Amino acid sequence: MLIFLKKISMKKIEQLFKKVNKESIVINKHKDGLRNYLLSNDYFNKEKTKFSDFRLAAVSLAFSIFIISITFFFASNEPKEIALENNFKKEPEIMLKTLNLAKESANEDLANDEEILFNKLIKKDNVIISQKKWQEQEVIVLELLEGDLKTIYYFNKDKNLLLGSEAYEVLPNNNNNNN
Amino acid sequence: MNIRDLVEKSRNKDKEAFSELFNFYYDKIFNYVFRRTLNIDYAKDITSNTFFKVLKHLDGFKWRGGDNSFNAWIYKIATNEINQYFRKQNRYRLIIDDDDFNELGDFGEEVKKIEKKLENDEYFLILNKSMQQLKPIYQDILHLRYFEEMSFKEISEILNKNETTVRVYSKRALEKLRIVLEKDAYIFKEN
Repeated sequence: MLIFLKKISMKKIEQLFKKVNKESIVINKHKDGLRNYLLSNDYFNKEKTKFSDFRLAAVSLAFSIFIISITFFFASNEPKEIALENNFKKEPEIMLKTLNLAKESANEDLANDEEILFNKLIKKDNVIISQKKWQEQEVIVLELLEGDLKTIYYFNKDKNLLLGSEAYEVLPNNNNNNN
Repeated sequence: MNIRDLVEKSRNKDKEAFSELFNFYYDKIFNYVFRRTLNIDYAKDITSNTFFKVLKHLDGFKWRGGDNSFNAWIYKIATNEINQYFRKQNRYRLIIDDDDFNELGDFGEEVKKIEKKLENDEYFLILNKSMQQLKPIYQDILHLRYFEEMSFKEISEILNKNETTVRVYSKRALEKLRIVLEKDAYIFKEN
Protein backbone atom coordinates (compact mmCIF):
# COMPACT_ATOMS: atom_id res chain seq x y z
CA MET A 1 0.00 0.00 0.00
CA LEU A 2 2.02 2.92 1.28
CA ILE A 3 5.72 3.22 0.69
CA PHE A 4 8.17 5.94 1.57
CA LEU A 5 9.83 7.74 -1.29
CA LYS A 6 11.27 11.21 -1.69
CA LYS A 7 10.02 12.78 -4.93
CA ILE A 8 6.30 13.39 -5.38
CA SER A 9 4.78 14.90 -8.49
CA MET A 10 1.76 17.21 -8.39
CA LYS A 11 -0.16 14.71 -10.48
CA LYS A 12 0.42 12.05 -7.86
CA ILE A 13 -0.95 14.32 -5.16
CA GLU A 14 -4.13 14.82 -7.16
CA GLN A 15 -4.36 11.05 -7.58
CA LEU A 16 -3.96 10.67 -3.85
CA PHE A 17 -7.10 12.76 -3.32
CA LYS A 18 -8.98 10.52 -5.73
CA LYS A 19 -8.03 7.45 -3.72
CA VAL A 20 -9.62 8.76 -0.57
CA ASN A 21 -12.76 6.90 0.39
CA LYS A 22 -15.59 9.33 -0.31
CA GLU A 23 -18.24 7.08 1.14
CA SER A 24 -20.67 9.21 3.08
CA ILE A 25 -20.70 8.96 6.84
CA VAL A 26 -23.88 9.81 8.69
CA ILE A 27 -25.10 9.75 12.27
CA ASN A 28 -28.76 9.02 11.68
CA LYS A 29 -29.87 9.79 15.21
CA HIS A 30 -28.34 13.24 15.01
CA LYS A 31 -29.74 13.81 11.55
CA ASP A 32 -33.29 12.93 12.64
CA GLY A 33 -33.02 14.95 15.85
CA LEU A 34 -31.75 18.02 14.03
CA ARG A 35 -34.41 17.74 11.33
CA ASN A 36 -37.19 17.49 13.95
CA TYR A 37 -35.78 20.42 15.88
CA LEU A 38 -35.61 22.62 12.75
CA LEU A 39 -39.11 21.67 11.59
CA SER A 40 -40.56 22.58 14.99
CA ASN A 41 -38.87 25.98 14.81
CA ASP A 42 -41.02 29.14 14.98
CA TYR A 43 -39.89 29.94 11.43
CA PHE A 44 -42.57 27.63 10.05
CA ASN A 45 -45.32 29.15 12.19
CA LYS A 46 -44.60 32.76 11.26
CA GLU A 47 -46.76 34.39 8.59
CA LYS A 48 -44.75 35.21 5.51
CA THR A 49 -44.71 38.97 4.83
CA LYS A 50 -46.85 39.51 1.79
CA PHE A 51 -46.76 42.26 -0.81
CA SER A 52 -50.26 43.36 0.31
CA ASP A 53 -48.82 44.15 3.78
CA PHE A 54 -46.36 46.55 2.18
CA ARG A 55 -49.20 48.07 0.12
CA LEU A 56 -51.25 48.67 3.26
CA ALA A 57 -48.25 50.25 4.98
CA ALA A 58 -47.65 52.49 1.95
CA VAL A 59 -51.31 53.65 1.96
CA SER A 60 -51.12 54.42 5.72
CA LEU A 61 -47.89 56.33 5.19
CA ALA A 62 -49.37 58.36 2.31
CA PHE A 63 -52.45 59.20 4.42
CA SER A 64 -50.26 60.33 7.35
CA ILE A 65 -48.21 62.56 5.04
CA PHE A 66 -51.45 64.05 3.66
CA ILE A 67 -52.76 64.85 7.18
CA ILE A 68 -49.43 66.42 8.21
CA SER A 69 -49.35 68.53 5.00
CA ILE A 70 -52.92 69.78 5.64
CA THR A 71 -52.00 70.71 9.22
CA PHE A 72 -48.95 72.68 8.08
CA PHE A 73 -50.88 74.36 5.29
CA PHE A 74 -53.58 75.75 7.63
CA ALA A 75 -51.06 76.68 10.24
CA SER A 76 -49.11 78.72 7.69
CA ASN A 77 -52.27 80.79 6.92
CA GLU A 78 -52.13 82.35 10.40
CA PRO A 79 -48.54 83.55 10.67
CA LYS A 80 -49.30 86.41 13.10
CA GLU A 81 -50.96 84.09 15.59
CA ILE A 82 -48.10 81.68 15.38
CA ALA A 83 -45.62 84.53 15.82
CA LEU A 84 -47.50 85.78 18.86
CA GLU A 85 -47.80 82.30 20.34
CA ASN A 86 -44.10 81.78 19.90
CA ASN A 87 -43.31 85.13 21.44
CA PHE A 88 -45.38 84.33 24.51
CA LYS A 89 -42.93 81.62 25.27
CA LYS A 90 -40.21 84.27 25.60
CA GLU A 91 -39.60 86.71 28.42
CA PRO A 92 -42.62 88.78 29.67
CA GLU A 93 -41.17 92.15 28.60
CA ILE A 94 -40.57 91.00 25.09
CA MET A 95 -44.02 89.41 25.10
CA LEU A 96 -45.68 92.70 26.12
CA LYS A 97 -43.72 94.70 23.54
CA THR A 98 -44.66 92.30 20.84
CA LEU A 99 -48.32 92.37 21.85
CA ASN A 100 -48.44 96.18 21.88
CA LEU A 101 -46.70 96.35 18.55
CA ALA A 102 -49.22 93.92 17.16
CA LYS A 103 -52.13 95.98 18.56
CA GLU A 104 -50.72 99.23 17.18
CA SER A 105 -50.16 97.63 13.87
CA ALA A 106 -53.77 96.34 13.85
CA ASN A 107 -55.12 99.81 14.77
CA GLU A 108 -52.97 101.40 12.09
CA ASP A 109 -54.35 99.01 9.52
CA LEU A 110 -57.88 99.81 10.64
CA ALA A 111 -57.26 103.59 10.57
CA ASN A 112 -55.79 103.35 7.10
CA ASP A 113 -58.88 101.49 5.89
CA GLU A 114 -61.23 104.15 7.36
CA GLU A 115 -59.18 107.00 5.97
CA ILE A 116 -59.47 105.41 2.55
CA LEU A 117 -63.24 105.06 3.08
CA PHE A 118 -63.49 108.74 4.06
CA ASN A 119 -61.55 109.87 1.00
CA LYS A 120 -63.68 107.67 -1.26
CA LEU A 121 -66.91 109.04 0.19
CA ILE A 122 -66.05 112.74 -0.08
CA LYS A 123 -65.28 112.32 -3.75
CA LYS A 124 -68.88 111.23 -4.44
CA ASP A 125 -71.42 113.81 -5.71
CA ASN A 126 -74.26 112.45 -3.59
CA VAL A 127 -72.38 113.05 -0.34
CA ILE A 128 -72.93 116.03 1.92
CA ILE A 129 -70.14 116.84 4.36
CA SER A 130 -70.74 118.72 7.61
CA GLN A 131 -69.28 119.10 11.10
CA LYS A 132 -71.25 118.86 14.34
CA LYS A 133 -71.20 117.56 17.90
CA TRP A 134 -72.20 113.92 18.18
CA GLN A 135 -72.12 111.91 21.38
CA GLU A 136 -70.29 114.74 23.12
CA GLN A 137 -67.50 115.04 20.61
CA GLU A 138 -66.78 117.05 17.51
CA VAL A 139 -67.25 114.87 14.47
CA ILE A 140 -67.28 115.15 10.72
CA VAL A 141 -70.53 113.87 9.23
CA LEU A 142 -70.89 112.47 5.77
CA GLU A 143 -74.40 111.96 4.43
CA LEU A 144 -74.64 109.60 1.49
CA LEU A 145 -77.88 109.51 -0.46
CA GLU A 146 -78.43 106.51 -2.72
CA GLY A 147 -81.97 106.38 -4.12
CA ASP A 148 -84.33 106.34 -1.13
CA LEU A 149 -81.57 105.25 1.29
CA LYS A 150 -79.56 107.73 3.32
CA THR A 151 -76.42 106.58 5.18
CA ILE A 152 -74.76 108.85 7.70
CA TYR A 153 -71.10 108.31 8.66
CA TYR A 154 -69.55 109.91 11.75
CA PHE A 155 -65.75 110.31 11.49
CA ASN A 156 -63.36 111.76 14.06
CA LYS A 157 -61.82 115.16 13.43
CA ASP A 158 -58.72 113.61 11.90
CA LYS A 159 -60.96 111.89 9.37
CA ASN A 160 -59.24 108.57 9.91
CA LEU A 161 -61.58 106.81 12.36
CA LEU A 162 -65.19 105.89 11.77
CA LEU A 163 -67.00 106.45 15.09
CA GLY A 164 -70.41 105.27 13.92
CA SER A 165 -72.89 105.05 11.09
CA GLU A 166 -76.65 105.09 10.62
CA ALA A 167 -78.88 104.23 7.67
CA TYR A 168 -82.41 105.51 6.97
CA GLU A 169 -85.07 104.96 4.37
CA VAL A 170 -85.90 108.42 3.01
CA LEU A 171 -89.66 109.12 2.83
CA PRO A 172 -90.85 111.61 0.19
CA ASN A 173 -91.80 114.23 2.81
CA ASN A 174 -88.98 113.51 5.15
CA ASN A 175 -85.72 114.97 3.86
CA ASN A 176 -84.46 115.99 7.19
CA ASN A 177 -83.92 112.80 9.12
CA ASN A 178 -80.52 113.43 10.61
CA ASN A 179 -80.35 113.79 14.34
CA MET B 1 -37.84 18.69 -7.48
CA ASN B 2 -34.79 20.91 -7.94
CA ILE B 3 -32.99 22.85 -5.21
CA ARG B 4 -34.44 26.19 -6.27
CA ASP B 5 -38.01 24.90 -5.90
CA LEU B 6 -37.21 23.36 -2.53
CA VAL B 7 -35.68 26.60 -1.26
CA GLU B 8 -38.60 28.72 -2.49
CA LYS B 9 -41.16 26.33 -1.01
CA SER B 10 -39.24 26.28 2.28
CA ARG B 11 -39.37 30.06 2.32
CA ASN B 12 -43.14 29.75 1.96
CA LYS B 13 -43.09 27.70 5.18
CA ASP B 14 -43.46 24.32 3.44
CA LYS B 15 -42.09 21.84 5.98
CA GLU B 16 -42.00 18.95 3.53
CA ALA B 17 -39.84 20.93 1.11
CA PHE B 18 -37.47 22.00 3.87
CA SER B 19 -37.25 18.42 5.09
CA GLU B 20 -36.22 17.31 1.60
CA LEU B 21 -33.70 20.14 1.34
CA PHE B 22 -32.27 19.17 4.73
CA ASN B 23 -31.97 15.49 3.75
CA PHE B 24 -30.10 16.46 0.59
CA TYR B 25 -27.62 18.73 2.32
CA TYR B 26 -27.18 17.14 5.76
CA ASP B 27 -24.87 14.36 4.54
CA LYS B 28 -22.82 16.72 2.39
CA ILE B 29 -22.34 19.27 5.15
CA PHE B 30 -21.70 16.73 7.90
CA ASN B 31 -19.06 14.94 5.83
CA TYR B 32 -17.42 18.20 4.80
CA VAL B 33 -17.25 19.34 8.42
CA PHE B 34 -16.07 15.98 9.70
CA ARG B 35 -13.27 15.76 7.12
CA ARG B 36 -12.11 19.20 8.23
CA THR B 37 -12.28 18.63 11.98
CA LEU B 38 -11.91 14.85 12.36
CA ASN B 39 -13.96 15.20 15.52
CA ILE B 40 -17.44 13.65 15.65
CA ASP B 41 -18.73 15.82 18.50
CA TYR B 42 -17.63 19.09 16.91
CA ALA B 43 -18.81 17.91 13.49
CA LYS B 44 -22.29 17.43 15.00
CA ASP B 45 -22.27 20.86 16.64
CA ILE B 46 -20.91 22.67 13.58
CA THR B 47 -23.45 20.94 11.32
CA SER B 48 -26.27 21.81 13.73
CA ASN B 49 -25.20 25.46 13.93
CA THR B 50 -24.90 25.62 10.15
CA PHE B 51 -28.47 24.41 9.59
CA PHE B 52 -29.78 26.59 12.39
CA LYS B 53 -28.24 29.63 10.66
CA VAL B 54 -29.58 28.50 7.29
CA LEU B 55 -33.11 28.52 8.70
CA LYS B 56 -32.58 31.80 10.52
CA HIS B 57 -31.37 33.62 7.41
CA LEU B 58 -33.33 31.75 4.73
CA ASP B 59 -35.66 34.70 4.05
CA GLY B 60 -32.66 36.97 3.41
CA PHE B 61 -30.97 34.59 0.95
CA LYS B 62 -30.74 35.89 -2.66
CA TRP B 63 -30.11 33.97 -5.91
CA ARG B 64 -27.21 36.19 -6.94
CA GLY B 65 -25.20 33.63 -8.89
CA GLY B 66 -28.02 31.56 -10.43
CA ASP B 67 -29.24 28.12 -9.35
CA ASN B 68 -25.92 27.21 -7.70
CA SER B 69 -26.22 30.13 -5.27
CA PHE B 70 -27.83 28.10 -2.52
CA ASN B 71 -25.11 25.45 -2.66
CA ALA B 72 -22.44 28.15 -2.36
CA TRP B 73 -24.38 29.88 0.41
CA ILE B 74 -24.78 26.81 2.63
CA TYR B 75 -21.12 25.84 2.18
CA LYS B 76 -20.12 29.41 2.99
CA ILE B 77 -22.01 29.21 6.29
CA ALA B 78 -20.44 25.83 7.07
CA THR B 79 -16.93 27.07 6.16
CA ASN B 80 -17.37 30.11 8.41
CA GLU B 81 -18.45 27.83 11.25
CA ILE B 82 -15.43 25.56 10.68
CA ASN B 83 -13.08 28.54 10.76
CA GLN B 84 -14.75 29.72 13.96
CA TYR B 85 -14.13 26.28 15.41
CA PHE B 86 -10.44 26.45 14.50
CA ARG B 87 -10.17 29.89 16.04
CA LYS B 88 -12.03 29.00 19.24
CA GLN B 89 -11.07 25.30 19.45
CA ASN B 90 -12.59 23.91 22.66
CA ARG B 91 -14.52 27.14 23.25
CA TYR B 92 -16.70 26.47 20.21
CA ARG B 93 -20.32 25.97 21.32
CA LEU B 94 -23.61 24.71 19.96
CA ILE B 95 -25.95 27.68 19.57
CA ILE B 96 -29.13 25.62 19.71
CA ASP B 97 -30.67 25.96 23.14
CA ASP B 98 -33.27 23.20 23.20
CA ASP B 99 -33.47 20.51 25.88
CA ASP B 100 -35.02 17.84 23.65
CA PHE B 101 -32.35 18.33 21.01
CA ASN B 102 -29.47 18.56 23.47
CA GLU B 103 -30.58 15.37 25.21
CA LEU B 104 -30.50 13.16 22.14
CA GLY B 105 -28.16 10.83 24.02
CA ASP B 106 -24.90 9.35 22.86
CA PHE B 107 -24.30 8.08 19.39
CA GLY B 108 -21.91 5.35 20.53
CA GLU B 109 -22.43 2.59 17.94
CA GLU B 110 -22.57 4.92 14.95
CA VAL B 111 -19.47 6.79 16.11
CA LYS B 112 -17.52 3.54 16.52
CA LYS B 113 -18.40 2.52 12.96
CA ILE B 114 -17.21 5.85 11.63
CA GLU B 115 -13.94 5.67 13.56
CA LYS B 116 -13.30 2.19 12.21
CA LYS B 117 -14.02 3.33 8.68
CA LEU B 118 -11.63 6.21 9.16
CA GLU B 119 -8.82 4.04 10.50
CA ASN B 120 -8.93 2.03 7.29
CA ASP B 121 -8.73 5.06 5.07
CA GLU B 122 -4.95 5.54 5.10
CA TYR B 123 -4.93 7.92 2.13
CA PHE B 124 -7.31 10.25 3.85
CA LEU B 125 -5.40 10.16 7.16
CA ILE B 126 -2.11 11.00 5.47
CA LEU B 127 -3.63 13.80 3.40
CA ASN B 128 -5.50 15.22 6.34
CA LYS B 129 -2.50 15.18 8.62
CA SER B 130 -0.45 17.04 6.00
CA MET B 131 -3.22 19.49 5.10
CA GLN B 132 -3.59 20.54 8.71
CA GLN B 133 -0.12 22.04 8.46
CA LEU B 134 -1.24 24.43 5.70
CA LYS B 135 -2.76 27.89 5.99
CA PRO B 136 -6.57 27.82 6.59
CA ILE B 137 -7.32 29.32 3.16
CA TYR B 138 -5.30 26.54 1.46
CA GLN B 139 -7.15 23.94 3.53
CA ASP B 140 -10.50 25.47 2.51
CA ILE B 141 -9.58 25.36 -1.17
CA LEU B 142 -8.15 21.83 -1.16
CA HIS B 143 -11.14 20.41 0.71
CA LEU B 144 -13.70 22.15 -1.47
CA ARG B 145 -11.84 21.30 -4.67
CA TYR B 146 -10.80 17.68 -4.06
CA PHE B 147 -13.27 16.31 -1.52
CA GLU B 148 -16.40 18.30 -2.36
CA GLU B 149 -15.40 18.29 -6.06
CA MET B 150 -16.41 21.89 -6.67
CA SER B 151 -15.49 24.11 -9.60
CA PHE B 152 -13.20 27.11 -9.08
CA LYS B 153 -16.20 29.37 -9.69
CA GLU B 154 -18.18 27.74 -6.87
CA ILE B 155 -15.18 27.94 -4.54
CA SER B 156 -14.69 31.61 -5.40
CA GLU B 157 -18.33 32.28 -4.38
CA ILE B 158 -17.97 30.41 -1.09
CA LEU B 159 -14.71 32.11 -0.15
CA ASN B 160 -15.65 35.54 -1.51
CA LYS B 161 -12.58 35.57 -3.73
CA ASN B 162 -11.90 36.18 -7.38
CA GLU B 163 -11.92 32.98 -9.48
CA THR B 164 -8.38 33.64 -10.75
CA THR B 165 -7.18 34.14 -7.18
CA VAL B 166 -8.71 30.79 -6.22
CA ARG B 167 -6.90 29.08 -9.13
CA VAL B 168 -3.58 30.59 -8.06
CA TYR B 169 -4.18 29.70 -4.41
CA SER B 170 -5.13 26.16 -5.40
CA LYS B 171 -1.84 25.68 -7.24
CA ARG B 172 0.12 27.12 -4.33
CA ALA B 173 -1.82 24.92 -1.88
CA LEU B 174 -0.89 21.79 -3.84
CA GLU B 175 2.77 22.85 -3.94
CA LYS B 176 2.78 23.46 -0.19
CA LEU B 177 1.10 20.10 0.35
CA ARG B 178 3.74 18.40 -1.78
CA ILE B 179 6.48 19.95 0.35
CA VAL B 180 4.81 18.72 3.54
CA LEU B 181 4.30 15.22 2.12
CA GLU B 182 7.93 15.05 0.94
CA LYS B 183 9.14 16.28 4.31
CA ASP B 184 7.19 13.48 5.97
CA ALA B 185 8.40 11.15 3.19
CA TYR B 186 4.99 9.83 2.34
CA ILE B 187 4.08 8.52 -1.05
CA PHE B 188 1.68 5.95 -2.25
CA LYS B 189 2.08 3.08 -4.64
CA GLU B 190 -0.14 3.31 -7.68
CA ASN B 191 -2.50 0.36 -8.22
